[in-house]
Amino acid sequence: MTTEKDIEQFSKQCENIFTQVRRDVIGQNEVVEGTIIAMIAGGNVLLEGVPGVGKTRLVRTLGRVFDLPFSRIQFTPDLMPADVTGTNIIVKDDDGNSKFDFQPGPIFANIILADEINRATPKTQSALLEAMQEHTVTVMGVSRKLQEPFFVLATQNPIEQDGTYPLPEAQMDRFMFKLIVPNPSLDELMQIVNMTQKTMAEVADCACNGEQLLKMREVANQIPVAEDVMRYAMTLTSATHPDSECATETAKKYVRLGASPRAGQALISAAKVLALINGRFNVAFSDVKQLAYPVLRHRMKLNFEAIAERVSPDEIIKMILEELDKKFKIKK
Amino acid sequence: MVKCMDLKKYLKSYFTKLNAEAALKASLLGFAVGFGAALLYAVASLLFFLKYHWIAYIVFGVFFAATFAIAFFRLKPSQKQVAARVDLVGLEERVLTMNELKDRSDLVANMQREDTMQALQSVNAKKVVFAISLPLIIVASVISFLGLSTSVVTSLAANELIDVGQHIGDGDDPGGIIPPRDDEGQIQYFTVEYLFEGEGMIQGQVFQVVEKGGSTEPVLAVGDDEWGFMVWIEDGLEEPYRMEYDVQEDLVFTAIFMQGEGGSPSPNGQPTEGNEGQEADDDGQQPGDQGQEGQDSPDPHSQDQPGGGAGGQYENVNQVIDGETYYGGNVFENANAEMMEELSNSGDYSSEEQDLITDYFNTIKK
Repeated sequence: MTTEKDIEQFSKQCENIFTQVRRDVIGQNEVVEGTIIAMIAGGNVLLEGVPGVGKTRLVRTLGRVFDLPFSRIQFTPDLMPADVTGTNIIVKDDDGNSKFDFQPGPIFANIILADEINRATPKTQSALLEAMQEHTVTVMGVSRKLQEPFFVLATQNPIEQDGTYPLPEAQMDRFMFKLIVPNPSLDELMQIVNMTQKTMAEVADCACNGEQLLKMREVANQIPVAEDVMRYAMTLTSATHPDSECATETAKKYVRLGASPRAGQALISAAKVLALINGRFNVAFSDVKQLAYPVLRHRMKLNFEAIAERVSPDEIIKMILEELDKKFKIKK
Repeated sequence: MVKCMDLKKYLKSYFTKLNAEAALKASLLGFAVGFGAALLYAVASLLFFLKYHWIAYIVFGVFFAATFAIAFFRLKPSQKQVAARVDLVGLEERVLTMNELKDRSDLVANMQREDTMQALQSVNAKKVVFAISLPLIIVASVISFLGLSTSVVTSLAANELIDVGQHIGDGDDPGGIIPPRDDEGQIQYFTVEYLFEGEGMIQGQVFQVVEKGGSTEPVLAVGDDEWGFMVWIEDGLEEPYRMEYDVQEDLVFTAIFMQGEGGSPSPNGQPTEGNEGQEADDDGQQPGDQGQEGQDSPDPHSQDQPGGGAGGQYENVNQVIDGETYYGGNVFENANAEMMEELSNSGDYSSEEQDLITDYFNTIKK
């Protein structure tokens, strides 16, 4: 049961979370906001950026701010699925008899930092699928539930770099957001260097615990969505499919495979959190439009024409949004 | 905390404004349809000479009222539409959501209402402006202008306040587009009647009604056996075929048929037996070549008669076989007899040439 106090608490905690994260992370406002929104909404996040732009630091900071057990898995080409999920090992009991005992892997934590996830082979990448979607891990036929809240915050280098394995569509779809971590601006770079010259220590304090985070998620879920806004969000999702009845001209021209229904769910869940963060008790078109980029950019498979013309997913989303604005008569 | 409430009460000023917008749109549509109908009536009155021009105003009134009522009913904004319009001024779908939550009284719904009410207070109702599409304004204006001006001009002309208008081209009616009217503005018609005396018939309409200055349908006087057409008694025209041009009064024409005199052309234009006596007479004139110069009525069939069309007197040597001129009857017989006589008397032709010439005459005889 949501109370007025819970709603008031949501705003305070959000403010506190942002304040603490910004103590350790300079700039990257969109990435920070996107990650926090996804965590409150219960989604996994894929952070893409070149090495050294602060991806890992952000995830570590979030682990400390939310005061949640945190595991870091450095994905490498020789990493095996059992290294992630854990495995049964033979141990001797008190009577000296040998028996299988499950040794949990690093995935048994609340926040998983899957660092450079695209450096692992597809087999190991797939070990995360069940955990990301069902929040369970099955080893030797035994399913074990993961602790809530559970998040996978993965980082990846741009796939154009050598020694990377592109994530399969099924795995990409399980990330609520894909956030692009840009290089810091000049001012941000100066601040970063100044800060790290003094100390490399991370100073962010805990802003809320796991239980409070789950409560925040519950509050956000109560936010109403007007039918028109819901229809807009679902139309946007369908509009990325070149074969759907809502297909836009842009999708027909550049997209081979559109976003799945998970994209629609992610859009609405995240939009509710964003609305509440913005102090609104309803989801607006602007929330959906703002979140369209992180939700859809990794869920669309572009066709040859888009690749040949070097049209990025963000440009395609922008064009689709413009087409829908005309259809829904939405003012910019 | 704002509990369940009547949204209309809070959005009253917006409702009023958007209802006015709907009324304005409905009026524009009404004007477009009403004046469009009036325009059609005005055009119809010109084409079909409808008299009662005040009907155009009734037509306008009826169509305007009907269109306005239907359009206003359809364009009148619902509560949801008003909410959506109000949101456009920067309320970020707050009012739309509040409208959907109007029957809920839980905590979130109440807080959403409270938030919306605060946001509504910060918004100026004047920001909601009329949204009427430019094409609608242009179409309505053009049709209204055309319809109104045509109706007014037609009415003024009908009431003799202005002249009916100038005819197109030289003179009053060079194109013959506008039929002449009498002093009361009515078109003048005349009757043309064709009668006959003797045994025969008039082919075509024997009683015709023609507009002033108009032409009749052609008629042909055809005599029975042993009877031949002589003359149209009223004007002395000896041509059985006739039509009248530029009729300016009621006319009556009587065809005279005489027994054993001449011969009327058969319906297909070929002379009957009675006409044969006129062919190859002393001055060489053929039937159909009857000196019609100066006649008012040109005879389109005259060139089908021997001697017609080529001009001058009939001579065997100047007849041109053009596929249209008639060369049957005595023309053929005379030529054939003349050729046969020459063939028998002259020794200039070989037997093969004689056979060829004979075959030629036999062929064209068929």
